[in-house]
Amino acid sequence: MLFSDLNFIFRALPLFLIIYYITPYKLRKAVLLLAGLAFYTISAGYFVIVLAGAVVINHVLSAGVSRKQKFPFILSVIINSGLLIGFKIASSLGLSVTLPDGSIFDLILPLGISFYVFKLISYQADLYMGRVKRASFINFAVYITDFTQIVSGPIGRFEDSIVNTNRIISSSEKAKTRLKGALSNISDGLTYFVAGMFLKIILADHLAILWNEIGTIGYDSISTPLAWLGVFIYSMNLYYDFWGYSLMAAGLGVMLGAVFVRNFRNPYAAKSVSDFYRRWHITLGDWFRDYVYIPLGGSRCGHMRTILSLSVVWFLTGLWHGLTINYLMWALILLILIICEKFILSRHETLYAVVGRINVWLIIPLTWIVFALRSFGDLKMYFMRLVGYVPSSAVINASDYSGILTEGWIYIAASAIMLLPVIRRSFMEHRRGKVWTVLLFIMFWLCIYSICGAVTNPFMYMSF
Amino acid sequence: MAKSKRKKRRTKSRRESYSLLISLLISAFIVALWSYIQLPSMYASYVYSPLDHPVVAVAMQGIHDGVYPWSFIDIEGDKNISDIVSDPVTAVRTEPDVFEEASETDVTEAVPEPETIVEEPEPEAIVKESEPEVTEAAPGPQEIEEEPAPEGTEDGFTSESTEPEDSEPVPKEFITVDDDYFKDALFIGDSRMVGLSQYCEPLDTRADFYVKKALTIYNILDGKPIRSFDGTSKSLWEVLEEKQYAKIYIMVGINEIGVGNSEYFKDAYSQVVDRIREAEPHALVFINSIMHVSKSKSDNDGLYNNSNINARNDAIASLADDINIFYLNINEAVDDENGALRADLTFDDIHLRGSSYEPWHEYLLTHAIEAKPLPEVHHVLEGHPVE
Repeated sequence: MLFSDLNFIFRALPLFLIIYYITPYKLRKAVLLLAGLAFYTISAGYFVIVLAGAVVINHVLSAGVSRKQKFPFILSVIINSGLLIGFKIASSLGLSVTLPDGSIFDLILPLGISFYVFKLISYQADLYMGRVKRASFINFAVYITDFTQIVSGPIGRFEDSIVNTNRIISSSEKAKTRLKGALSNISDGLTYFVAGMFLKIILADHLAILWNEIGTIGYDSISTPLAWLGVFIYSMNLYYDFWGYSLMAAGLGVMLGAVFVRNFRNPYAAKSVSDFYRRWHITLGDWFRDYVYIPLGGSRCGHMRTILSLSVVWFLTGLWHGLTINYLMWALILLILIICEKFILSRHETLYAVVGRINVWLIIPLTWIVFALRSFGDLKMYFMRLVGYVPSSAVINASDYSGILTEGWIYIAASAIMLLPVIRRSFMEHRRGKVWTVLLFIMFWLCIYSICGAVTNPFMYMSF
Repeated sequence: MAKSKRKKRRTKSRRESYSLLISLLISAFIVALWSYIQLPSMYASYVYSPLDHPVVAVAMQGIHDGVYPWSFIDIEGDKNISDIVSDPVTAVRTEPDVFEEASETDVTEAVPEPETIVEEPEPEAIVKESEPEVTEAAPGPQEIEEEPAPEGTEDGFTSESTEPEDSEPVPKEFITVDDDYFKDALFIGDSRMVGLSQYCEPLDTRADFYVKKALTIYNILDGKPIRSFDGTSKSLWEVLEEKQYAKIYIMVGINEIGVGNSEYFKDAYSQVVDRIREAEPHALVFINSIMHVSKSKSDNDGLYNNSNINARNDAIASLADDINIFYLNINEAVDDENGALRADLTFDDIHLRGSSYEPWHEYLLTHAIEAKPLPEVHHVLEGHPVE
């Protein structure tokens, strides 16, 4: 089940919210846990066993970890990362198991495993370092199975989890206060949820259709203007899809009384690649900083150590996204850019300012093409077309971009406008105000209209 | 350890506003109530299952189809709400019913592109049977090459009304031509035909293309105007009034899979072909088979699969008389050994890549029919692709 399903928006979510807030505070954690498991089972079936198993094993190990014992801690890291790496390898090899009853079970990547494994590791590390205290089983389980974060993050920290921060589930209150609290949380979270829906369903999903049309032509046969337009389209598609989802997830958390978890902060307003990745998928970047970069020494032990730490971080980042070579290439390019910025460009202020921006607006979108195209052949074709080289197989329609523009100019224009930091700032400050309320109301129904037209699904678009 | 700051942002005013929540609740309730009340009347032809979708979806789907709360049109053609896709991750349909042809008159399959409002065909429309008058040989559409070469091939090109009573028209054979053959040709079709106009330069520079993404046979029959090759918005019938063509090629059908059944589709197609023949009595009509989809799509889609496509193709193939109306099984040019669209020719399982239109082009060149020149001399303007 996705957050953009009609059945989720109009049925599951309202029903859950009612149950959640009616339940006496002592039982709300149990409701959350059940909801998390139910949500996961509906979405991912038998893989809930993997999730549950991971929670149990980690909880057992956390006893020793909390006492600063090295062996349980190292074991937990090995088990957790082994779980992630194992499934990643199995799914990319297309492995499957034959069950006792003869049926074949494909070992695809379980839903959210890249995210909940990172939450597990962060918890154990925080526990080991004494940053958090050992949680009760139910608190820990709620943190890991949190349905608002399990699909694609954000990778929330245990100390920010609803079980630790939210008075709604930790204190008793009168019915009237409870109602006010519920309405307050829900209204607050709703603004993020609707904004995220808009970004994902109106912007990202329509841009995805355009990107898919570019692929349909064939990367060898696109005109050069279309190739460049495609760089923009894909970059914006990826951004709004992920930012939109992150807002929806954070909004759901807020509806339940959790703190807002920020995952994006105007990345394209960044001044350098390093700055960009402090604004993009923030929870992932913070995870690598706190649990890999800094423990390895970071920037505190001299230049060589910094470069080593950065290399390890980016190598792992590449692998985390996928096991195909393009992800490693993508990570390597960014690593080189960051090292250049840190050690070469940083010596000249103006050069840094200029080249930094070029890196963000030109180079990073180009790296997204490397990120997008898993086949090396496709990648080669695409970059050939970008520079105007015509592959032998190509049949190019020189006016192909005008068709794409006619069809999608409004989404392309909107995605450019939404890059302006002033919009996000206005939203964050005034989202509860009258103007944004009206806007969000309209945005909500636009999204529902769009979902109903099945336009949101680029792989199923109904008009050929 | 530095923690990234996450300030909880509050509005300056302490007074909470629940207006967004309340307005959404009220509006959702109104839409749901409206949908529910109108289910038996306005949305009667929508097959709705409460298990699959919230009832608000009915009204929203209606708006997509141009059925607003203030309009009171009955929608013909039976559309299905359960088409609404809620899972973009997989392409597996939630209703994997295999489409049954002919035997059912009500549809349980998906909705086509939102623009189509299928109306009853006009009762005055002449539904002529386009049965071949040659009865001793009943050629299947693909078997024309096996017919004995008729002597009077060139003379077979006459309209039925001017045929002398004592001679029977002889089925024609396919011949191979060069690209200039298409100088007086018109191509009609949906996005696959759009692709042909964009990626087959020899055809694009010679023929006229009356094409649009999502074009259906019902759009054509209803005279829906689309932006034509001369830049103006026209129905096909207006185009045919203004210009004469010696060859008319059609490919539609993939967008109509979710509407009606094969008989319904064939009936509309037949009416279109007849009207084309009336408007252009001297033209040869070439019905292109609906192009297959790739095997991976066909295996995973309950609607857009090759068995449904084949059923439709069989239906329209029977419209050919091999005198003036021909069936071109272009799938022969693009299929793999499983009778599906070759995977290497497509990216999205449905359309040919830009560099992969040559097989279809070749097929058209090698499956032409000798045509008499048009009675009036027309210099065909350079064809322009349309959206």
